[in-house]
Amino acid sequence: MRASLIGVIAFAAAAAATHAVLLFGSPTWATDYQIDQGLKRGGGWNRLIYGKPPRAGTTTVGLANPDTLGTRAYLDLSGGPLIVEGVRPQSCAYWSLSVFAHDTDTVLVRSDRELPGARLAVALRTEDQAVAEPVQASAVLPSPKGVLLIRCFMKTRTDAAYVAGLAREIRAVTMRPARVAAP
Amino acid sequence: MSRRAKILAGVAGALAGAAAGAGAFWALTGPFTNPDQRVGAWTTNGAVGQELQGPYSRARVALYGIWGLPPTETLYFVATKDAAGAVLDRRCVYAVEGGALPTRWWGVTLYRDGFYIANPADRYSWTMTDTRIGPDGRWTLTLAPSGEGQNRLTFGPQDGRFQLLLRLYQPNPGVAEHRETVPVPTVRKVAC
Repeated sequence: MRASLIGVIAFAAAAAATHAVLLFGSPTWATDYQIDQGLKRGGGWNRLIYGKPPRAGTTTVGLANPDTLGTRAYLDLSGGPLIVEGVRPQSCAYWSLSVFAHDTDTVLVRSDRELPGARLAVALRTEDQAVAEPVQASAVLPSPKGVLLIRCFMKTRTDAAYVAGLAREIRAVTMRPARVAAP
Repeated sequence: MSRRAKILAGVAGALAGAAAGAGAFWALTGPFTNPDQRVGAWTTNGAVGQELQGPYSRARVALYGIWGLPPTETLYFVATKDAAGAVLDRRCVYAVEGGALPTRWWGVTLYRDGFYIANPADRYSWTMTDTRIGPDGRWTLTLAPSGEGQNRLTFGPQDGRFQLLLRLYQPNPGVAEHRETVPVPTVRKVAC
């Protein structure tokens, strides 16, 4: 085989392989990067991290919403399903709970429109896991890793008393291991 | 043809191919990629956050706006240029003029290179709950090099790629399917 033909074949193969790896790998790498950054900032797996009003230089998430008083959890369901529960904040301009798969696809979105009551109970599980307690909704992840985001929009960032009250409200939502059905 | 020449050709081809593959990836997912729809000075991508989105859209969202919500919940409109098509310039003053939007909640945020712009007031956005809106429902935000005040956002002293992001949370029924009907604000250069 001629050297030029070898070069052309190597070029085409490497171009296609690199492109495919970046294309299909980048979403999970982006999730892993954000989780890694969150863990470095003191976060942990499977526990809620209650945010503060966003400020410049405090987030690695591009195009983040500065009006969100957010709550986040980095999920690893390999140890079993989880339950997010508690009293939903009532003073947000908008509230929603969303769960994202490792590849960033949205698995579940439930807002205060779909969950109008004060009490909240949402299961986080994989397809092969079952939860043995009543919940309002279930986020079924295609793999154990994922991310939970709870968005509470502030009506204003400049009213310190309002923001402090909202910060107390978002802490009324907690997370714990779910009761699972006996095998 | 020597064996060494063939190996060199293979290695050179592979290296060039890897660079070309990465370049093509950047070209097809990077910040200058054409979005799927233009509305006035704004662009919007209707496939954010969905399982059905294609791999390019998924990669683009993951890299530049991870954990965006699907259009049934949120519509995102981005403007990097003014109404005349000129790139937003930190040395200029702009008026962002809008009115009622068909949604439960809206907000407009100014970013530099995708991140908040530091300023003494920690003011990065204005929303429907804190923007001063006229009795006729119209509102105007001012983008300026510096300064503080109601309805004002600042570019700051650093160069970069400036983006305005308009978020519509829980758009009215039918709006997500017809994003071209959203009365997006105009971005007008006032002075430079």
